[in-house]
Parts: sequence; C-alpha cells; structure tokens
Amino acid sequence: MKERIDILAIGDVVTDAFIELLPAEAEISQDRDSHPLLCMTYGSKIPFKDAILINGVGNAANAAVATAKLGLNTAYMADIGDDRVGEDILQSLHEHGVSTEFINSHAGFKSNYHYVLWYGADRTILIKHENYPYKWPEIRNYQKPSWVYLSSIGETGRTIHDGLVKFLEDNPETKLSFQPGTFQIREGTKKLRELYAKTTVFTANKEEFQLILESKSTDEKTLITKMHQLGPETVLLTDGPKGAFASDGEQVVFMPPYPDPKPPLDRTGAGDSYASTFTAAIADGMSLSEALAWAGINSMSVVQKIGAQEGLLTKNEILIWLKKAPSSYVAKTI
Amino acid sequence: MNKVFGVVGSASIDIYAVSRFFKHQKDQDQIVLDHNSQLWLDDSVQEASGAGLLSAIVFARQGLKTHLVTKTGADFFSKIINAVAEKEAITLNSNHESNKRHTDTTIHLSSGGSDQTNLHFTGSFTSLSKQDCSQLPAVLNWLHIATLPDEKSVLLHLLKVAKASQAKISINPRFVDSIASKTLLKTLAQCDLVVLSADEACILLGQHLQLEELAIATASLGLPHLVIYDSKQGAVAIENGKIYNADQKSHNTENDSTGAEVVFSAGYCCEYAKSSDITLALTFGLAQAYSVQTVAGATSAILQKPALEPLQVEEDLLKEGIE
Repeated sequence: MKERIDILAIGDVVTDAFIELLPAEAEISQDRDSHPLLCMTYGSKIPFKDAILINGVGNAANAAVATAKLGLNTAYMADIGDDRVGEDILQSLHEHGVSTEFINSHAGFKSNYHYVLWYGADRTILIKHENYPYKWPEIRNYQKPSWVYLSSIGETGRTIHDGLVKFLEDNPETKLSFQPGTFQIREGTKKLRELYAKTTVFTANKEEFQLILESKSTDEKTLITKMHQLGPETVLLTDGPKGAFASDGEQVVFMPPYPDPKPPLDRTGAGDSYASTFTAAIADGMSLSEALAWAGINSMSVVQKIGAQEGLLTKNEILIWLKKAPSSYVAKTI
Repeated sequence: MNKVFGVVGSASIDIYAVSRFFKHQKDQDQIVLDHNSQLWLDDSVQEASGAGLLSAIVFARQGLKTHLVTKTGADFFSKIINAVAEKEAITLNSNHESNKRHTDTTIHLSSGGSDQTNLHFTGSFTSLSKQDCSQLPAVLNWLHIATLPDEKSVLLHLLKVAKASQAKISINPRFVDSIASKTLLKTLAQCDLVVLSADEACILLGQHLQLEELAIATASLGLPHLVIYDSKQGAVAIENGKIYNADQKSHNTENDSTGAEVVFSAGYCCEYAKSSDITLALTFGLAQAYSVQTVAGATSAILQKPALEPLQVEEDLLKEGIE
C-alpha cells in the first residue's frame, strides 16, 4: 500500500543557470530608494567567471526537496515542457526523493529556465515562464496529502488556485501552507481571498508583506496582525539577515538568524528553505519557537552552498547544529 | 568518392535575453538591472553557435561529409550542441566534452533591437589539445580552421595532421589582435586559402585602406589565395594575382551581423573546395552572410544546397579584372 503523502508542493519548476560575474566587470550602486542596482558597461563584451546549471528549482520545488530531505513523504505538482530541460528536471526530483506523479509534461512547450546573474552573495534573476495550459488534476483518495505547500505559479495559474480552493473545501483535513510568488503577490488579497482564508501557515518576507497588504508599515507586529485578519492561523515573516517573526494569533515570537559559520556564498533559496522547514516543523507538531529554530538552521546552511538545494539538511543534521547553537540563538516572545 | 571535410573551431551557446527592465543609464554609459530582484524576460532564446559549429553546418548543409573537432563542457549546453550536430549529420570528435569546464556561452542582454551588452564565458575551446586534433579522420580532403586554437603548438600540430593527409587548408583566424602579426602571417602562409575581415586585415597591415587596396597589400605578404570580407561592402578575392570583387547585397533595416563573417568564410571555402570557381564561391559565401544577417542567431538562416543552386552570378555585382 502506498504511504500517505505528507506534503504536496505546488508551483512552477525551473532550471537555474547561475552566471557568476567577475568582480571587476560589474558594480553595485543604489537608486533613490536605496535599492541595489547591478551596473555593467553598456554595449560591451563582458567576460564572466563561470556558469553552473541547477535543475528542478523554484520556490515550490525547493520546498519539496527540503521537506523530502527532512524525511516527509513529499509529492510535487508542476508543469514542464516535453524537452531535455524537462527530462533533467524530473531526474533531479527523483534523485531527491520527491514523487513526480503530479507533474504534467506539455507537448510543444519549453520548460522554464532562469538566468541568475550572480554578483557577490546576491543575484538578479532573469525570468521567463511558459504559459502552460494549467489543469487541476484528479487526486485519488490514497493520494490526498496532509498538507499542501503552494508557491510561485505563472500568470495563467488561476486554474490551479481555483482547483486547490475546491479541493480544500472538499477535504478540510488537508492543511495549506502558502508562500506566495511574484504573480500571486501581484494578484493581491482580493482575487486570492479564498486562498488566504483557507491558509493554515502563511510565509513571506517583510517587503512581500508590505506589497500584499498594500501597507507602508515597517512594524512587524502590525503586518502580522493584518495578515491574520485575512485568514492564516500561523504567520511567518522573515526579514533577511535580521531574523524572523512567527505568530499563532496569540503570541508573536522573534528568532535571530543562526550565525553563519562562513560568509554566505549565495543567498538563493534562503527564504524557501526557511519557509518550508518552518512548515514541516509545524506539520510535525512543533511549537513556533522550535519551528523557527529549525528553519533558521536550514536557511543558514543553504546560503553556504551555490543554489537553493545543495545546502539543505536532514533532520539529524539540523539536530547536530541545534546542539551546538550559541546561547544567543533562542526565540523571544515580543 | 565523397570528399571528407574537417572543421576545427568553437561550439558554443548563444542566449538572447530580451527585457524592457534592462535600462541604459546614459550618463554613466551602463546597462542597469535591479539587483537582488526578479526581472521578467519578454523573450528568451537559446541557440547553438560558435564559429566551428556554424562553419560545420554550412559544409554539412551542402551535403558534404563533415567532421567537427571542438571542445565543450560536459553539461546541458553540450547536450544542445550534440543534438544540433546529430541533426545536421556532423560527426563530433568523441572526446569533445570536458568535465573540468563549462561550455562556452554568450548571453546577449537587450531591451529589444540590437544587443546592449554581451556576457560571455570562454573556457572550453581554449582547452583544445593536440590529442583532440588527432581525432580528425585519417583520410581528409579539406581542413577548415574556423577558430584559432589558443596554443600555438596545437595549431602547428593541426597543420601537420592536415598535411599528412594531403588535405587542403583554409583558415578564418578572427581575433588576429590576440596573436603577434609575424607569427600569424607565418601560419597563414602555410594555408591554401585565407579569409580575413577588413578590420583584421587592417590590424595585420597596421593601416586603413579601401577594400581592394587592402586585399592587394595583404596578399603581397605571401598569401596566394586571400579573401577579404566586409559585412557592409562585400568581398574581394585574390588568387595568384587575379582580383575578384563582389558587393554585399544591402538590407533595408539594421541587422544583426553576428556570424556573418563565419558563414561567409565557410560558404566561400565550401564552394571553392567543390568547384574551384571563385566567382561562384563569392556568390555563395555572400548569400550565406546575407541570409544570417536577417535573423538573431545564425544557425536557422544558413542556406541549404537547394537554396543556393539557383543563384546565378550577377554580372553587375562581379567585376573580374586586374591582375
């Protein structure tokens, strides 16, 4: 008999081509709002240092690999093209122990491909998503997951949102963790109000909270409270190297980041690993403080490697890091 | 019996990334992208390219048995190159994939129209070794060098291998500024046919001249069969003192000249190898160059044999004369 699916991750899958720029060939400046700008000489030929290809990534794919590595029975729902990139994506997911039974391959379509311009520890991602004819699949009883983890889907992914809402209505025992991607953030809370209302765990970074809620507030508690009002029972707000806040509607807990053992190599996937590990821990019945502690460790590990998946840890590896955590790595109720 | 053609040169991947979010900061003359963010591409195309692969495609599309000696990484981009070679019936040297390097890649960043900035990675073809060159077929009728190997010893070995097979040698060195003129001229003099762009000939000579004067002056350096190509003006060929001129048919709009010199050179050499007819070789070479300037990326525009056959030498374009 097949094991029950613990987590079904849903969202676009891509192949990332990391283009490592040479320090002397670009520079970072800032615009009027202090946002970083990557500047390179116009109209010239600029050599780059290296290129690395990583198959089967994206917010939801990273989450699927993270939860599979943590020992959860994980399946993944995504759309790919019937090309070589798609074949490599499937192979990569299999190698990570993620079930691909819900992956839909479309004849005549290309698989999604990103170019990541990598400069220092930061990057600019050039994105092109195919407009797949998304379709919500038939999920049989034995395939029904305990949790659904929804993240970034392309412009035409409304069918998936509608299908998911219907599925959650019909299967109230399945819980939803929602980490919105670019298009879902742009859609706003009105169009996706049913999704927000059915969300058990909501995760996003501070800037995304401001965009979604159309709020200029910089106060984390205010943003979290507003998010709870839309429906999510548990809310996680990450704030990059400053740390993260989690709330169950009764208490708000702050967790500082786990100290980096070495300077970060590449921050790709830091948010995904934080959000998915937090969800996996909550799904496992952990408290907010425990879930934050686990999430911070996995995120710290991811930025020590190139790409979003290579640094992901197993349960035992997280426990080892927890044991040697400094005394400052402790959650505080605020 | 069918002639066997060998091509030595780079095989790479061209990526065309078009986005309205790439901004040109005119005061600093920089292309500016929001960092730490996601920028949506309006279009994105990956295409196999490189002087070696493009030249081999020109030869193969004329129905010729073609071998390509190149060097790529052992990565996804190499798979694309392998698939193109297979489709075009080009035989690749078996050891062309190297685990140590990534396949040569150029990313063309543009907000529409012509390229703004190109990001390029060169690392795989530069590792071409003597061992790779030894994989040319033992029976070889013609060798076309489309990219100069990085190591002089590799280039000399290549010439030795070709001469041992009594193969004719054509060369389109490009980037002549990366090698000392005297050394390069010594190598060029060992080849049966040399194709240079007008800019390269100027660098070799150290002076700027009109196309025909340029060809005469360059040929006098000891190159019995020389062709000078200019993507806007056309080409001048000199063989044993006899000069042939051909104008490039002009486009109405601004076009991408990426790959034009490479396919002109291969088109010329291919036809000359077949027929020894210089006027026909010029016509076919210029037709290939004209065709690839109509699209971004060259491979799709390289003309097949049936498209070239009806081309007649246009008398008003070709002025045969002067010794």
